[in-house]
Amino acid sequence: MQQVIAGTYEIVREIGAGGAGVVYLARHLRLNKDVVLKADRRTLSSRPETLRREVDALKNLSHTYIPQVYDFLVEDGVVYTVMDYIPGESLDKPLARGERFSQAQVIQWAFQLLEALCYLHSRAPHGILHGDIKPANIMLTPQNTICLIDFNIALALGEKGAVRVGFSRGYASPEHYGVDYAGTAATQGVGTSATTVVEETPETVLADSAWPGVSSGADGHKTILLDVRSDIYSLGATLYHLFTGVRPAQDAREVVPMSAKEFSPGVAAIIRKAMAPNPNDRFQSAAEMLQAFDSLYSEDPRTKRHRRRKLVAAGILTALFLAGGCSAFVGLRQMEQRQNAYALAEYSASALRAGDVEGAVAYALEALPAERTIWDAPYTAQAQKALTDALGVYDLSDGYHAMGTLRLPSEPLKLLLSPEGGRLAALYAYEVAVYDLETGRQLAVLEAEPSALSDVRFLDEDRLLYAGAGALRAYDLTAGQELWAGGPATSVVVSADGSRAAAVYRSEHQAVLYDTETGAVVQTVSFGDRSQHVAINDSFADPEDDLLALNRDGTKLAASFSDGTLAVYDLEDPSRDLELLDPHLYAQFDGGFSGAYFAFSAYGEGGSLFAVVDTAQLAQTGGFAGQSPFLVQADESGIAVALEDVLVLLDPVTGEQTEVAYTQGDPIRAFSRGEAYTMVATEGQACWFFRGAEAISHFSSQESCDFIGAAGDYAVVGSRNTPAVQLQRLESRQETQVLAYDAAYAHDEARVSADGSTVMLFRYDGFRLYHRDGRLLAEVALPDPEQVYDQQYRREAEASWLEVLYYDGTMRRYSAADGALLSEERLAPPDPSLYEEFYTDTLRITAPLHGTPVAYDRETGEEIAALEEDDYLTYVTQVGTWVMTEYITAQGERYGLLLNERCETLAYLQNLCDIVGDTLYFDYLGTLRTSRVYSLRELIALGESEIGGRVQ
Amino acid sequence: MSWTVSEWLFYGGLAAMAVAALLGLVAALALHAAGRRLRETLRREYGEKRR
Repeated sequence: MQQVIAGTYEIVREIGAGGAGVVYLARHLRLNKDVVLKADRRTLSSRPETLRREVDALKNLSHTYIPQVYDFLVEDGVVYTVMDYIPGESLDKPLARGERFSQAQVIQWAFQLLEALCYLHSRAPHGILHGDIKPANIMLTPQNTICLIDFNIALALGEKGAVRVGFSRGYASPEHYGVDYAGTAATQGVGTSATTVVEETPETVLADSAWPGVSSGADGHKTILLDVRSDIYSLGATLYHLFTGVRPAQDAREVVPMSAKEFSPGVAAIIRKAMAPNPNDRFQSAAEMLQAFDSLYSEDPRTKRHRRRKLVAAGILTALFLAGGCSAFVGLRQMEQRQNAYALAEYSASALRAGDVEGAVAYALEALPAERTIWDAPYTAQAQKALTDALGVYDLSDGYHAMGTLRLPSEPLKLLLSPEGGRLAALYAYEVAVYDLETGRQLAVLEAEPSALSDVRFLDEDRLLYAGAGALRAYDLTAGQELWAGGPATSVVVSADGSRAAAVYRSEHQAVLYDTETGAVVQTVSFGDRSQHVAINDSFADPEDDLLALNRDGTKLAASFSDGTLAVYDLEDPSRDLELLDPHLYAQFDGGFSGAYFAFSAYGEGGSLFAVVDTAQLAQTGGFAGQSPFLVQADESGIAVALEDVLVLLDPVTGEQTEVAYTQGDPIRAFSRGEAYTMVATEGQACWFFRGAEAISHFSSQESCDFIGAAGDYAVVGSRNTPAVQLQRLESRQETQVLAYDAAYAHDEARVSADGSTVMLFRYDGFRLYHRDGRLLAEVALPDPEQVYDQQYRREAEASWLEVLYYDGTMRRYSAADGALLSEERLAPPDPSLYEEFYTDTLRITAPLHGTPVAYDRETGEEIAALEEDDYLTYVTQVGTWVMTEYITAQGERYGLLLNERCETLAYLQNLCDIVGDTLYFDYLGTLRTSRVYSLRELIALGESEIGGRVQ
Repeated sequence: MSWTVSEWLFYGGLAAMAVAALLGLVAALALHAAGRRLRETLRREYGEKRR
């Protein structure tokens, strides 16, 4: 017969016994549920209300790892507590069997125990201490979880007075023994101070002299101060036993640390801290200890190392990525800037070719911005060259130089310079505009006859004759008023003396002769039934195939006609009129009067014809025929004829031809002869300037040169295709001249001595030596010039000399001071390949005779750039960080290229012949001129000051 | 290779970004594998993390 308690619980069997009482497995008779009945042997010295409050406090506990308390009852003087039956066994049993648990398993149990402790310690009003945590009080369920049992309910009260507690050797904290390592008697943590009474149990250790700090009362009771940290210690000791399989030493100071080989340092540290003798050194709460176990993963050195590696890798790679991105961004920006600079340099060059100097400088300056940061691309060589070219700082030649452009409202039909060149008349879209080239000011805009045939002529610098609307008109530019008006006119010519003007109106059969002073009609010349050739639509084009000319005093008039004939009318004696050509053979005519002679050319299906007629003798004095048209300019200065690429002056009496210009295979399209200069335009869109027969300069134009003119100090170039008219001004750079010599002396090279006192002009068969003041010091003919292999001008310290090397190895040295032979010696014969090498600080430049010079890095040998392909490299000079290379073309022209460290061209220096220090010498055939090397900063400053000073 | 400084900056920067991306991928894979091994080791030592 089983015992039934309170008519509800049937005792099944006893399952344990301890100092606090007996524990039974029972069954709830009505619920048929297994429960635990804990019979408390306490005598009922406490009031029933006190006991009720104990159970009430426990009945409210609900946690996974704490058994539920259901009831409390008293029967036969025994207090029974009814709680959950926890299947399984307490952990002391497997420990007693010698079983070991894995560290991971014990940690899982530690989590559960600490969760339970956190719950207990946080119960209102003062928390609940377990007070006796040990393996025996921890149930291991079949699910491998734990349940914390048998906690001391009395410690839930926080009441003052004695409380009986269990006392388990090895698991109990020093406070249980009354040992106070904290140095204070105050209880910390839970509730208020509580003294407890030790019950003697088999596990109880009584105080003795070996336990300092433990007081012993006369009745054998000890005084204990407990708080949550005591539970922490007990838990730590329990876990220690579970980890190591060894029960910890009773004295907290003698606990053997957990082995570092067998257990993780973090785990050992937690246990060590939990079991610190001084409660102040332990975890101050179960939550703190739980946090420590939670942090095992994150605080493990390997985790930290791994996290650190991730951070470092992420940091480094992110930095690398960002740095690469920044670099790419900056590089791309710089590349775009370079591209922009290249484009602007091209625009600059294009503007310069069009004669727009100010535009060229502006574009070049835009490619060289003043405001730059370290993130901006460095200045490009192309931009620097464009600026150098636009400014023309290294062009020291006397002659016409680009001055700017004049933009007309529309494409010109005619352009004409005044006799002294100071004014320009432009006929366009039926207006005549006159400009002062010195000031750039527009002087007048006059309405012209609406025909492309309309002409404009200068009577002098101040008076203009033009085919105005409905009449031939004379205009005073200074007064700004019309002087007179005649009859309708399109074609107009003026006699050389300016006294007479002849006008023809379109295809009328007559010419009208005017007095230029008064405008009175002097004479009307009838063409009979003939008329000049006029285009079907003369509104937009004048083929300029007609010839209309007056002689010097206006007494003879020459005219061509649409039927191909050409006549010279003697206005004083019609019987002396001349018919020069048969009809229908020719369509294009050119020519004029030069004194008594009339020179003309005619071109048609039969070819071309040139002839000179003595109008006094009424006889032809000369002429020739050809296939291509001849261009003829005949005036008081002479007769000039252009044949293909040669312009000659023709003596009308002897027929002797004197070459005036030669355009090297490019047929002449137009020419204009001034006092000292001749201007020639070619079919290849080039413009040449000649002084005498010497070409002094030339430039290429983007458009065809349909209109050219040179007079006084000015020249103009215009095209029917563009309203922009290029203006040129005659400039002298005499201030740069350092030597004048006989221009007739042909030479290959010019060199200046080291001390700058002499100049040597030499060629393969000899040399001339000049003093800087122009005196000829010596003229030497070299022996055996055909055997000369090479000549080199040497400068060393203050001495200079010319070395002449012969094929047989003979070396002759001639003084640059007086031309005397300094020495003669026989060396090894030179390499006939004429291969040369030049060295600078950073470059090695090879110069084969029949190959392209190549520049190499002197240190690494890496090829930097190939230099000029078609020309022969003669000399290399280092100028600061730049390099000056000197070349000679197949035509014998000399020039220099200023290169940067990447061998990009910074400047083109025509006629460069020598460099001494940073002084550049230019040979302009008869004069030697100098310049210095301009820095980029100087060029930019020049450009900025130049922009506002050009004619526009 | 005769590049300008700008080209070196641009292409070098792109190369650095590509290298960084590639190394990042390699590092991510390697660290992921190492992390998995570490988690496994820690799980063996410390058991499952508390939820």
